[in-house]
Amino acid sequence: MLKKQAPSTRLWLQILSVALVAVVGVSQYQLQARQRAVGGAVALQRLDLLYLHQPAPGLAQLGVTSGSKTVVVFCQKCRLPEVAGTRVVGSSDISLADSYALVTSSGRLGPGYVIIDSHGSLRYRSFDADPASHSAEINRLVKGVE
Amino acid sequence: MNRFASFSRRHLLTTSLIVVVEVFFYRQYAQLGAEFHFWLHSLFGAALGIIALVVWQLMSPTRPTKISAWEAGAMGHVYSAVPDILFIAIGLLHMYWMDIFALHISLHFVRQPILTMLTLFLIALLAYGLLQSGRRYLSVGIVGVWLLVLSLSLLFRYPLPHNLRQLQQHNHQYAWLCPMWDLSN
Repeated sequence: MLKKQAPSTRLWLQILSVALVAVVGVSQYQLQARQRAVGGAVALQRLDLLYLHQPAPGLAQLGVTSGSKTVVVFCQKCRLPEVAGTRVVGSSDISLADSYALVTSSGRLGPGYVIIDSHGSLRYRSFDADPASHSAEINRLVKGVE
Repeated sequence: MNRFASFSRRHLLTTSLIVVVEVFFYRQYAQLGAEFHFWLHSLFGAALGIIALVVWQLMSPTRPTKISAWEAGAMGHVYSAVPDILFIAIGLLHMYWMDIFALHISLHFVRQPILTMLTLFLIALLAYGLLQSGRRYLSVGIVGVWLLVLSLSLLFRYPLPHNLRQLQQHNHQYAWLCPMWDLSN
């Protein structure tokens, strides 16, 4: 028969259980991150904050004209996201991707995308393993761009 | 009475609700491939909630609170996730001022972000446990350690980039933050 535990013991057991759940959860996540990360790449992604405001480089090369918002997706082989009322351009040009800081430290091209406003200003850049899967998120970001 | 240890019917109910909400949150983040952000904000939000409870109890020892550490932690998590909830619910983009929600923006730039947040969470639990065990002074010391770790992690965080040149530097110097999931796996 189990002995009735003192409140203090029960308290520490509960705290230990919560701590264990957190440690196991984080360890599992870190393990998954190593196994599933594309080429071991880590990058700033999905900040959902319009933190850039500068002229977008290489607009002519990308065939982007001012007057409408554009999403440029940089990847070797990926599906393009669907963005309502906005032009979506795909590119696998590594030098252009580099000018948008979408080449990883290991030299990998993206995948990622940038959002250019109707005045030709770069407003957002994010690495993204599969932009097409995140069309809803990209739509919200594009909507937030003036 | 030890409120964490006495598992009343109310606590059972709220604990079940918290588990359901946490699982729901996790699934929402996972659907976007954003597990990194779940761990970042949940660990820090929960730590903040627990530390707030500890500080409240230290400052008002004669007015026992009915809130458990579970509940305080969960409320802290919801508070820290407000910008993400607003983004999903009404499409409101993140902004710099959203740091008022448990440092929602700045946390992304802390070094070793997930491990730092886990450390802060474990320290918060320790502070709570010590206080509930009647070791008030030790608990005050652990709250101090918590504040010190948080201050140092914020002091030495990576700078937030504002242009492409800074982003390129960050790519190479820091190889930043979240792992990029291969969604085909």
